[in-house]
Amino acid sequence: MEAAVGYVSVVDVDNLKATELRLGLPGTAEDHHNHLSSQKAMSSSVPSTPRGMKRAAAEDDDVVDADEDDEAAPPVAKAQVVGWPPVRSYRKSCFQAAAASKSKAVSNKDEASKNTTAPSPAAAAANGSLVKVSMDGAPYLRKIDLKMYKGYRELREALEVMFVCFSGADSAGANPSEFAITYQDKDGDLMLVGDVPFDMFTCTCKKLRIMKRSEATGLGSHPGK
Amino acid sequence: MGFGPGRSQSFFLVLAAARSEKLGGRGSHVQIGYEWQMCFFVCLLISCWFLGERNNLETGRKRIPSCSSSSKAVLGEGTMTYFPEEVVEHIFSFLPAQRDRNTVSLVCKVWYEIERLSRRSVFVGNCYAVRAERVALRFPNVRALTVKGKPHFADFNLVPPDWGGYAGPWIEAAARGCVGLEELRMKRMVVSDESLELLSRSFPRFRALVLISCEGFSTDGLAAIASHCKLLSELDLQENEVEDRGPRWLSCFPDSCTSLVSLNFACIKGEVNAGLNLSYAPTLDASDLTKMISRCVKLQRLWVLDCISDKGLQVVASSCKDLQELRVFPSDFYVAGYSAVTEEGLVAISLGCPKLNSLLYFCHQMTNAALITVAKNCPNFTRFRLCILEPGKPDVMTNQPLDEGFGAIVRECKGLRRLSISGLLTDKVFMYIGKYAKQLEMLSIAFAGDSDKGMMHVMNGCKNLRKLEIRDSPFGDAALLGNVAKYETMRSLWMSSCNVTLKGCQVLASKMPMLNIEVINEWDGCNEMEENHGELPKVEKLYVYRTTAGARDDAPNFVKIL
Repeated sequence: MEAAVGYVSVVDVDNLKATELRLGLPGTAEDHHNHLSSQKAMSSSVPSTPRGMKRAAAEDDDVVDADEDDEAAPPVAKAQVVGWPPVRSYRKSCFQAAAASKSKAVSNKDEASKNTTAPSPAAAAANGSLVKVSMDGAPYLRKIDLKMYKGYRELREALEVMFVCFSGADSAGANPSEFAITYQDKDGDLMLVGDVPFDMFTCTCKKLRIMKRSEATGLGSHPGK
Repeated sequence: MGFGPGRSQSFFLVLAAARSEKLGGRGSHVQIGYEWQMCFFVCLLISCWFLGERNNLETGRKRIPSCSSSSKAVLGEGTMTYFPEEVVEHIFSFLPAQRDRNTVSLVCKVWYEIERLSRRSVFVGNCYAVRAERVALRFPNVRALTVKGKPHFADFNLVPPDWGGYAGPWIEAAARGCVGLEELRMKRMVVSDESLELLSRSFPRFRALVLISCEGFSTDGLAAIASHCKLLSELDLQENEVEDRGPRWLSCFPDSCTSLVSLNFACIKGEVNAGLNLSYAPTLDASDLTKMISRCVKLQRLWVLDCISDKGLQVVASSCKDLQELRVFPSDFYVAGYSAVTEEGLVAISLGCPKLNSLLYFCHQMTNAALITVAKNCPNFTRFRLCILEPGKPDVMTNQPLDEGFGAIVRECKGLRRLSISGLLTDKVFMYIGKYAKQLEMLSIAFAGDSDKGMMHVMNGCKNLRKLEIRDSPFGDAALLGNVAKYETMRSLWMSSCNVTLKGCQVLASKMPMLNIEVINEWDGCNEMEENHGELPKVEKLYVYRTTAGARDDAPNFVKIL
């Protein structure tokens, strides 16, 4: 399937690239191997229930299909629903550590063959959970430690405090709901914050981006389902 | 003196009064089981005879005058008179279940008094159903207290943090009113270090602390317990979020501490004959695992990961003939991942372990045929929880819904008390559940059903239902409001990502003032309502529970209590 959003690879590439509208964080390299439509088939096999799976299905349509090599894709697509499967987070976090060390062995092999910008999960875990936070229109980025927050509420409140000065320029009295908080996961996909259990999110989140709600319409309509 | 017809009549009249009248107490509709009625009757016979023999002896024991006038009107004059308190109390001690003790306390004020002063163990299934002070005032001599906080789905992150479930009020109330407390068990509650400190200093005979899935405390709180509870014999901490401030707390147990018998944290280390928990050991080689298990022939409880595979389960089936409880946890949480256990492993277990009564089974596929076979082989299930990891997945052979399979389970397992269903399911499965699952107390539903009818079947059919938790299923206001009186007989209802609207909740609140209707909206829903383009705003998470305490005053701002 060809790219849904057209972009040229010839004349004046750099200028065009700078202005193009696409899903991707500012500064992300174009030949991003991990920017995949990995959620393609498996999401559709999950039945559309009232609300739970909406987000996964919506992403399906919007992810850019670039000229990716699927060998870099994760082995199975992830359809991640909040609170599913019904396993206590205590148990899940025990296994995240085990899974991280397993995948480190795998990704170390691939490191030589591809130019990936996404660090392996294990390395990220070792580095702690400091992630960059960018906001559209803000002149500089911030960095936060995800481990400092117990849940999405705290994270959102902290981000509001941090970035309130930047949103004031646009409207008198920033309305937090004008913005959507998104993140780049370890596969390089742009995801909406809030879908997966918080512990899982802190493990997979690499970067945060606060974008205007109007830009985020392609990611799904509601902030926190 | 003899035991004449007058007294036996009065006894049965008393029972009739207990059932039909509500004399104080909370008036829940519970009944003494038939066996206990007989036991009660026999005890009463014996004590009446005893009384008769001793009638002439002045023992000086405290005698209770006849019951209040209202019950006298029912019972007739001169019937239930002059039982020493100790005798009645002794009779009550034969009633083990809290429900039965609650019932006798409804008979008359005198019995209420005797019962409450002699009650040793209190179970509070929902900390918001009753005020802590009230419990402490009513049962000042309680020795063992159990309190549960958050709804079950909090285990899976469906309840936002800071929702509630604070242990503080309970420990404070007990510290004021129940100084003889010896055991405290809490589940899914928020416990602070200050509360643990207070606990450690308030109860001189305190000996057992059990905290399951709790949070809010650190090892400093545990240090206080270790330091000050001189008679501590049991400290059981399971799956809690504990802030680890170092191992210092372990050294706080006094050197002279000889009382500690059972110390258990993180993993349950059972004795191999009774129970084995290998569910945190993913690196265990499958063949080593099965070799070990094949030697545990007396095993009654086994928790493993699905790495054990169907083959491993076959070994379990042929070796562990006494197995009563089996839990198979997933090692891969991804919905479309791979699991080494399938329906075949479950069938093998059902064939080999006839005593199996409790099951939790995570797998990636199931068939109706397998479930029907399992139901026939193991009709003794009291707890049956099947989780097929992919929501809405049909029978992997026939592509049909799994209605018939679960239908067989509820039909054959007449003693089933707890059920969790998964896979592709239509309203039909709920019809079966409503029709057959008469002992069912707890039902967990996810991604199932077609219409309101599904939930209605359950609400109307399951007479003993106490807890109903539903997520991502198409049940709306009609189902919510279809049988409002039912909620008074249940502990709680949880519905998330269903089709219930705010209006429906408001109607329920207005019809049932004895319920707390909590609408939980973590992400500040006012904008969502606009974006719905005029549709009725759907409630994201709903928690309904009966209560005598009214709306709670510790609710966070994202919880709206109607």
